[in-house]
Amino acid sequence: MKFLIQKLTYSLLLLWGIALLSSCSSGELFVEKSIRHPKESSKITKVVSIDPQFEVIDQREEAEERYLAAANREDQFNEILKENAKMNEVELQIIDSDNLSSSDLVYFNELMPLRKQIWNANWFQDVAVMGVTYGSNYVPNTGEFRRGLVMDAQFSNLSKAYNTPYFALNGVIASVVKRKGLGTILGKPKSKMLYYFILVNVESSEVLYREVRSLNKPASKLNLHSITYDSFRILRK
Amino acid sequence: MRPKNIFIFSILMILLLADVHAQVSGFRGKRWMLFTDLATPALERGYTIGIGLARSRRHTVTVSFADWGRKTTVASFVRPNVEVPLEYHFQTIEIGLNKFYNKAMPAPRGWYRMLSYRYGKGNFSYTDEISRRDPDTGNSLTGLNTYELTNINRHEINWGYGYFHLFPNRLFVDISLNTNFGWLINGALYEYTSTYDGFIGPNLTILERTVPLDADLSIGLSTKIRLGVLF
Repeated sequence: MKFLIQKLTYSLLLLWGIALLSSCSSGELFVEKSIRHPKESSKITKVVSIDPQFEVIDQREEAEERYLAAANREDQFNEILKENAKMNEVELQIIDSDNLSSSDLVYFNELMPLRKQIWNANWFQDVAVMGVTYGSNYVPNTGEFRRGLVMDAQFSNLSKAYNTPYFALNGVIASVVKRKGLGTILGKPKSKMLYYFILVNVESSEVLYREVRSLNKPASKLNLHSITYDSFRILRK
Repeated sequence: MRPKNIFIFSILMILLLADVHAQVSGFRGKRWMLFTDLATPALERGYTIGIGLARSRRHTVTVSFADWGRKTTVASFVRPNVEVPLEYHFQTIEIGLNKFYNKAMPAPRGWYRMLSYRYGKGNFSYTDEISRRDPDTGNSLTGLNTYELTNINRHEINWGYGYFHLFPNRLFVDISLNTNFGWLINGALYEYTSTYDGFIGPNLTILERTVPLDADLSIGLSTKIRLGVLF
């Protein structure tokens, strides 16, 4: 009996240790859909993504935060977005401000103001104070918002120009943090990542879908493939 | 029902439960797993095969079948301070449920908690060389006593933690450490055979006290090192 109790104690101690380590790797996912989303999800076959953002913030430097050159990573992110959208039967057209063509001259006149509008709608029409959301008609625990976030109707003409009413903002903000204390033994820096995806319908001038994911993982190719595929999967269902 | 039959039945149940229209993405649409456990051939002579499915964004279900055995030694019943060879052989079926910690990353990826039930059927056997003096002639005779315990039903509950690491594309390693609580069900068949008559063998109670895996209740640690393919 004494032997059994001893064995059980060691087992529990070991499991607690692993549980503490594992708690570091949890992430969060927030998805909100307009009440119209279920009716429209099957129609979302083409999406225009306005200037996807990919930023890496290196916080290991003590002087000040340092932004890493992430231009090549941005191209990689664009390809990952396209590939995973295609796997979910969505044609993704990316308008990248770094690689504008003559056909994208509308960017500065139309797409940049639309991008600003989408951000404004998401920041100023949905104010959260102490965890309680005001301003929008988000229905708690349903993942839906009624009479959702709205924008100006001036962008409705874009649906003809791009042959789709669905425009999106996608982005990744990754940070690299120096480990402290016992974590320094592990050698590798601590990585965090934030992924967002906002989709609007310019014809109804409404935010149709928005999603934020936070992960305590690096923005590696494998992780980006995993979350972007899942993101388009949720969008289409 | 034999463990092999339960294994086939469980796979059929998973296939029937698999909802292709569910909002479960797995890793880029890959939700199925086919795996083997490297701990089985490393620690016991045998093999494990299994199949798994990402059932929801954070849960996977696995079913595995293992056939394993071992040769070891045990103290002789009749000869003091003598070890005699013992063989045991088991077939087990395990049904497990894994819950992944990461809410943002669809399963199967990263750390998880696991709970599983394992049912096994097996047998023990060992042979003891003995000697006696013939009462008629006075000569010394040697013989073999064989003890067999078959149809042993063992049940086990495992709980623990693991880490699922995916290599690019399809390959994965799944390592878990768990505590198990097991128990035996009575009804095992006991057979004792001897090479000559007139020798009385030990009873089942003595055998139960002697063989290493025969305790009615047991608590222990076990590990799984699964190597597999995601598809």
